[in-house]
Amino acid sequence: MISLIIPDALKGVDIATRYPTFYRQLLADPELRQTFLETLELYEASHSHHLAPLPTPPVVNLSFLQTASTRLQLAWQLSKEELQNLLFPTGWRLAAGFRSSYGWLDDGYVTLLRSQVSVERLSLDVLLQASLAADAPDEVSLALTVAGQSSADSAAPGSWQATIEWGDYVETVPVNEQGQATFPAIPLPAILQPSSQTVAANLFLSLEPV
Amino acid sequence: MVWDKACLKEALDEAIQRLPPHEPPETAVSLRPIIRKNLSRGRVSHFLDNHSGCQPYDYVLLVARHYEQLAPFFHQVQVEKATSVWQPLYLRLFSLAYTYLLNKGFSPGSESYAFAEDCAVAASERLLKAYYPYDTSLEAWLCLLVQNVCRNLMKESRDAAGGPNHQLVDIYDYLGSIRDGAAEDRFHCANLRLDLQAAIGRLVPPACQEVVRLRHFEGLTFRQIAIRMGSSTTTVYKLHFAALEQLRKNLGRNGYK
Repeated sequence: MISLIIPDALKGVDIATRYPTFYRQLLADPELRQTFLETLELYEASHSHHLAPLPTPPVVNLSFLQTASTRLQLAWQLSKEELQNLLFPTGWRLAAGFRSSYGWLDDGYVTLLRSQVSVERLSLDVLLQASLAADAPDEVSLALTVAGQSSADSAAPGSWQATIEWGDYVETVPVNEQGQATFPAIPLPAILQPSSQTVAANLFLSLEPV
Repeated sequence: MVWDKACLKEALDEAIQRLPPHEPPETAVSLRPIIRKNLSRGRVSHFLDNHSGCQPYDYVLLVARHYEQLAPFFHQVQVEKATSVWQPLYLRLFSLAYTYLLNKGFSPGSESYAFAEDCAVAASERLLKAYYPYDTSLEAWLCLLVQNVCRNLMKESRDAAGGPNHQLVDIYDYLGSIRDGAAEDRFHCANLRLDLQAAIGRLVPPACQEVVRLRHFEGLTFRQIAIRMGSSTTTVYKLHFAALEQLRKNLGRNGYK
C-alpha cells in the first residue's frame, strides 16, 4: 500500500489522520518505516526533479530485454465449464451434508489437468489435482506435480515456480526439489457464483523458471 | 461503510458495467481481472476505508483512468519491449537507483555508479514482469520498485561479503512495547509529563525537539511543519520517527513501558 500513500504524504495529507492503521504499523514495524521513508525521499527527489546527476552519461545496454524475451513460460487454461464438470458433476449439491459422502472424494483427489509438453530440450509432465478435505469442506486445495527431464543447459524442475489464477484467487508458489507445489487452500466462495453455486471463473495455471 | 467482500465484489462488477459510454467495451473486460486482483490484495478495501464518501464506482473510475493513460505504455514495456520506450525508462531507473544509493550514504563516483547500474538492470528485469495495479501514481510505484530492488541487492552484497551478523544490534526491540495499550494511560500521570518534557529537551538534533513541539503541542501536519521549518516533508517524517524512537528509549530507561 506504500505506493498509494506516498503521493498523499508528499501532497501534505496528514497520514497519521488519514491512514491511522498504516501509521500505527509504521510506528511498530521498523522495516516498513524504513521502506516508507526511503521511498518517500526518492519520490520527493523524483517529483521535484532533484534526482542526483549521473557522473558519466551511461551507455544504455538493453540486453536484458533479449534475455527476458527468451524466458520460458508455460501456461494452461481450464474453462469454468470443465472445472464445473470435474469438481461438481451433475447431481452435486453444495450443502455441507452432501460433501463428505460424495464419490469423487473417495480417493481424495480429482485430476484437473494432465499434460505433457516438450519445449526446446525440456520435457515435462504436469499434473494438477484438487482435493476437498473432509475436515475443511468449504475449501479446495490444489497440488501440482511436475516431473521432467532436462538437458544440462535447461532449468531443472526444482527451480520453477507455478502460479494459479482462479477468480479472486491468485497465488504463486515454488516447485520444490521433488517436483511438488502445494497451493494455499482456496475458500469455495472465492471460486463459486454466490447465487448459483457454480464455478465462476476459468482457471489459469502458469509455470516458469525462477 | 464497512464492505463485506462478496458485496464489494458484486458492487465492483456492477460499477464496471456502468463505466461511462466513452470507455470502449474492451476496457471493461480488461479492468475486471485487474480489479479482482486488487480486491484480493486488499487495495480496494484500503482505498474505500481511507477515502470517506467514495464508493466502489469511484475506485473503478480511478483504475479506468489510469488504465486508459498507462495500458499502452505497459504494453510497449512488457509485451512489445519497445527500445524507444525502454531507453528513457532505463535511464530513469538508473537515475532513481543512483539517487537512492547517494541517499543511503554511498559516495558519488564510479563504484556507486556501477552498483546503480546493476540495480537499474535488476529493476528493469523486475519491471518486465511486474504487476501494476493501475490505482496509484506510476512515479511512486517506480520509486518503490527501485527502492525494493536496491535494498535487496545491498542485502545480497552484504551477505556475500559475510558481514559480522552476530555483532548487529536490533535497535528496534523496544518498539514492541507501543502495542501495550496500558502505556497510553500513563501519559496522564504527572510524573510522566515531567519526564516527557525533560526527554523532549534532550532530543538530538534539536530539530527533533521542534518537530515534536509543532506536531504534538501545536497540532501541525507534517507538511505544515516542513513549510514552517523550511525543510522537506521527508526530513520532517525522519525527524519525527527519530524523535519517537529516542523518547521511547529514554523513557524506557526511566522504567516506563
